[in-house]
Amino acid sequence: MFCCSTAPSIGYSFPVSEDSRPNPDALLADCASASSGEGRLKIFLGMCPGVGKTYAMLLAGQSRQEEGVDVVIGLLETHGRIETTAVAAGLPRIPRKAIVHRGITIEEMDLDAILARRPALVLVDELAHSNAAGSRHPKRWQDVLELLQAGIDVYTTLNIQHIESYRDVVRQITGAPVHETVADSVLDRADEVELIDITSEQLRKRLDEGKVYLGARAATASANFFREGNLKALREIALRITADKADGELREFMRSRRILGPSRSRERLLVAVGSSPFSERLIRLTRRTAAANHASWIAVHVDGGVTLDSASQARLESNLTLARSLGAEVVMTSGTDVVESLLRVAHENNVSQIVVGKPLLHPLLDIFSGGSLVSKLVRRSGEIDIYVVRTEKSVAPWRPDLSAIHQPGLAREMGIGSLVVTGTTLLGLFLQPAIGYSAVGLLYLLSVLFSATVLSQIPILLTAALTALAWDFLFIPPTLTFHIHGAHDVILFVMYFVVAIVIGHLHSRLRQRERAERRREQQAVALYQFSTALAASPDFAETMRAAVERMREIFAADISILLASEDGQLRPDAVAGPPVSERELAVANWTLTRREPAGRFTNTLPQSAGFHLPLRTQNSAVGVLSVFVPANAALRLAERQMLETFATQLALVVEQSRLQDEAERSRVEERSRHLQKTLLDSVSHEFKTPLAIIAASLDRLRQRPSDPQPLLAEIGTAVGRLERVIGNLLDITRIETGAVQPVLAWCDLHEIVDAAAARVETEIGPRPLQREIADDAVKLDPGLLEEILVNLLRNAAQHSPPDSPIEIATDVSDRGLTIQVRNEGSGIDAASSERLFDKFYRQPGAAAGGLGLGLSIVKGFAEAHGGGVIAQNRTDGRSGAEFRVFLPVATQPASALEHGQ
Amino acid sequence: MNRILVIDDEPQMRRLLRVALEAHDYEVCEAATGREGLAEAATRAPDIILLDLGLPEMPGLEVLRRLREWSSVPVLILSVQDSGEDKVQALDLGADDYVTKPFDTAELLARLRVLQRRTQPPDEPVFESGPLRIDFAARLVHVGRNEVSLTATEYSLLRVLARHAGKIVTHKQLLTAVWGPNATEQAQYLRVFMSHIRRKLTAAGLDPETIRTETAIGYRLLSAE
Repeated sequence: MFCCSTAPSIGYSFPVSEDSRPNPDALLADCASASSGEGRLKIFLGMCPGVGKTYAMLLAGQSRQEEGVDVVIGLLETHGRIETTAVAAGLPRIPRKAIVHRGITIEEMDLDAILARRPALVLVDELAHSNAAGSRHPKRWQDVLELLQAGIDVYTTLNIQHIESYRDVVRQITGAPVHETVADSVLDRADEVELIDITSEQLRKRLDEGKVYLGARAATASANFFREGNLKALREIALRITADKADGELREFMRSRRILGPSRSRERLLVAVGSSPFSERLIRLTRRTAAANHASWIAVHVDGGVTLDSASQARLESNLTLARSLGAEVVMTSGTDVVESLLRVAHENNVSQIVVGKPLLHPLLDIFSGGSLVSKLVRRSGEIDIYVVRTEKSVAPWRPDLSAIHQPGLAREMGIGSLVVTGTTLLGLFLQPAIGYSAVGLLYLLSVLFSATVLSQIPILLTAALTALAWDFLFIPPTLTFHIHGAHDVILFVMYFVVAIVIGHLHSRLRQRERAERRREQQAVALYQFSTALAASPDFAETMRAAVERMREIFAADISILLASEDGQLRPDAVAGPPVSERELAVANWTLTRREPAGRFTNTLPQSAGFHLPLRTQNSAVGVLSVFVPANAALRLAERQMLETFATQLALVVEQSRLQDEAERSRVEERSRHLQKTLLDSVSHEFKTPLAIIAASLDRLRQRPSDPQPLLAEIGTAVGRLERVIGNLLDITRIETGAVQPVLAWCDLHEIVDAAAARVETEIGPRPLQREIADDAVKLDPGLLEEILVNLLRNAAQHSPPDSPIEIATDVSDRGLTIQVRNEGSGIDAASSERLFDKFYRQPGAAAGGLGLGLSIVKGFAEAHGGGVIAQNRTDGRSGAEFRVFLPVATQPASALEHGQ
Repeated sequence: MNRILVIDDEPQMRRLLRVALEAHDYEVCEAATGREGLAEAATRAPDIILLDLGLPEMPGLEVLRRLREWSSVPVLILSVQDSGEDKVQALDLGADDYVTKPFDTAELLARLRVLQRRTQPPDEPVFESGPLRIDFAARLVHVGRNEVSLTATEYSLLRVLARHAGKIVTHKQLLTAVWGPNATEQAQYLRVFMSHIRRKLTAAGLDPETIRTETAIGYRLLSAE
């Protein structure tokens, strides 16, 4: 069974431990919120318009400004009242932002400007307000929350009629509908609530003086909303709210200071949430009851496997959102028996009281479902109290869901049903002489059973009724009438009718459950396959693409995965899935920073085309999953849950890949550090030695010896050696950093060999150089080839006796160029053969001097051409080493060129 | 014809050059930065400029570019890089020749001498340098007494080199002169052609060093002095 819950963000929902010790989690949470750097929220609360909330807020702002605090006005509604406008003077005002939507310009609070301005305190009037479409948040109180999160203090004003859980109550009292509400959690979030309280007489006096509304409006207000009785009732509620808040604050204070006071009520309430409009009222009522008893509460939705139409679905979602915003812990569970599921959740969470509404259906209809919800609950609730609430007359009475009748498939199904009935009737007529009319009834029953396998609920019921009527009309004596003579026939008929209908109903319910089971199984399979796909491929990009493909199949929507780069922003190119537009990218970035879903189907930027889920890890978000559902489709709750599960999986994969990369990087860094150390050691030696020789020779020269030539020669040699070392280092650095890009040109091999031989003339010395060079032209980088040859020849000279020959031969085929350099000597010893081409490796016993880079350079340059080099001992009988370089380059026989002129 | 302006930011290099050049009767002016160098070039009207490419602030290439806006005085580039990219760029921008540090002073002086000579008048019918003799009118090439038979392309290449005898001729200059500015096909074989030329001339008795390959930059026909 799927079961997930969301914890409330704020509110009286911390579980209380059995004894009355302060709950450590709660204390920790307190500490966290105190030091979180969030701003302080102060609400100026009033019982109705005109009590002077805005005025008081502005006064408070003025006095803070005099203390030196940076105060700005974020938004102010003066309603034309002179006193209010006057007291606002002197406070800097942030201009409103104009939002154009469908050709209409509306001015709203400019949230971004305030965030950019970063005042210490901002005054925001009228917390209960819906922003125009196109604003970042649909509600102003969400804007205020964002300001608080940014560390800015906020003063704001609010009427009690706008508090969500009091909305019904105030409306009942005043009769005026309430359009705007603010969740109770915001009130709880407030660090300070100041009640602007005046007596009803004072308020009426103000109204008469025109200080609240002007002119005709004042008169109407006076007669309706501002009636004496109304005002007194509202005042009482306002005072009670404030008292409750003060009481709550006292408890928090005592608890955090470990002052043991009267123990908290250990009540816990549970309310079942469905798609009916009545749920809403139940939710608000539960909220008030819970608050009054200082209890926590849970809102439970049981998914019975019934597919809801889109209107019901939307209502269910809004009910759940309401419950969440009012501070409930929302639990989603599934089960075919609603009562059993509710009780299970209740027991698991130590619920003390379940809130339900009085049964709406006529008692007789309850027989079908085995008794009403309430009575079943009462019977099986054991020790849990059941609190039954009356319905309100103004709530729309439940109407049977007739929308099914308008479905197009209905006609077809009725057609099938009629066909079956007709067929059975004919069969019955045929068999009647043999079996009698009673048995025909059983035949009809069979046909009902049969059609129940293919028809849905309403067609079955109609078909069942049809068969009953057909049986009556055509078979029960007197035939061809609807009368029934025999008493036993009457009973037979009635029994038949009941049985047929019940069979049909039960069967269709069975099928519904089957379907739900199958759907659940599909979801589980999809999740399993998804996880397998994620684990299957070691290639990260491949994995992401596979994931996107899977999700596309499951959700029939475009999916993109965006990853965050080091600077905390999303990389604009999606790692998998179609590219994301700039607008959507901005929303996705918001999701990334806040680690909260945003976009369509959420409270933030709901006009976006996409639904963006953050890929969350422990401390941060590593990316965003963007889902683009086709415009006319919606995302069901179950699908949304699946997406969240997938998002978690993806986050893990991304994190893992990132960690792997980091591990690889540190390995590389480690290797390079080691290399650097070796390099430094060798290099400093190779530099210092010739420099020392030069210095010593110069010293000697300063003393004006008779023959300076040998010393000058020494200096010359040393300089040559330095040049060589530096050249090698530069080459190997180029190779290591990947900077070697061969520049190919058609070349003549003789030329290059000659040039290389000339460069190593000194090292080769008296050794004869035997050449066998092909005349063909080859297309390669002549500079690199020259370096390869220079290093090979030098290496050959270093490891061979002074007058032994060095052989160099080239072989050209259409596969490429092979160069072979051979020398005589002791050859390559077994231990060295593997490490010969390593950097800084020098064969033990080699002559002193040199960095051991030569062969590495040969290898690097050969590989830059896509080729390679091998070394082995000579195979022709003589002792010595043989190096072969292969370069897969284009070649042309010499003869071909002669013609191309 | 012997005033040389040395533009190099390293005082040691400037000192060294001054010593070497003055020993060969050159008059030497110095500048340590590009700006200074341009100013000196304008005021002192040198006959040759020695320009270091690795200048701080205003890079050598920039100095060269600005210089070439108003002056065609011969410029010899000093460079530290082996790769040749900077030198090719400089030569394309209008420099006349180059030496790579660390350089052989004799070579430097030789190249300076070449620059001092005015470029050969374009209608000089014959080129002679040591045993090498090229008769442009008759399109004949001789090394000593031996006639060398070159293909048409090989001849054209040799002619370009001879026209710039002693100076570096870049690959680009050679390609443009022989195949035009948009050559691609034959141009790939430039090196091969050059090595064929060298082989044929060497076989006829010419010192192979006469045609010098300057890797990644171009070729130089050394003229006997």
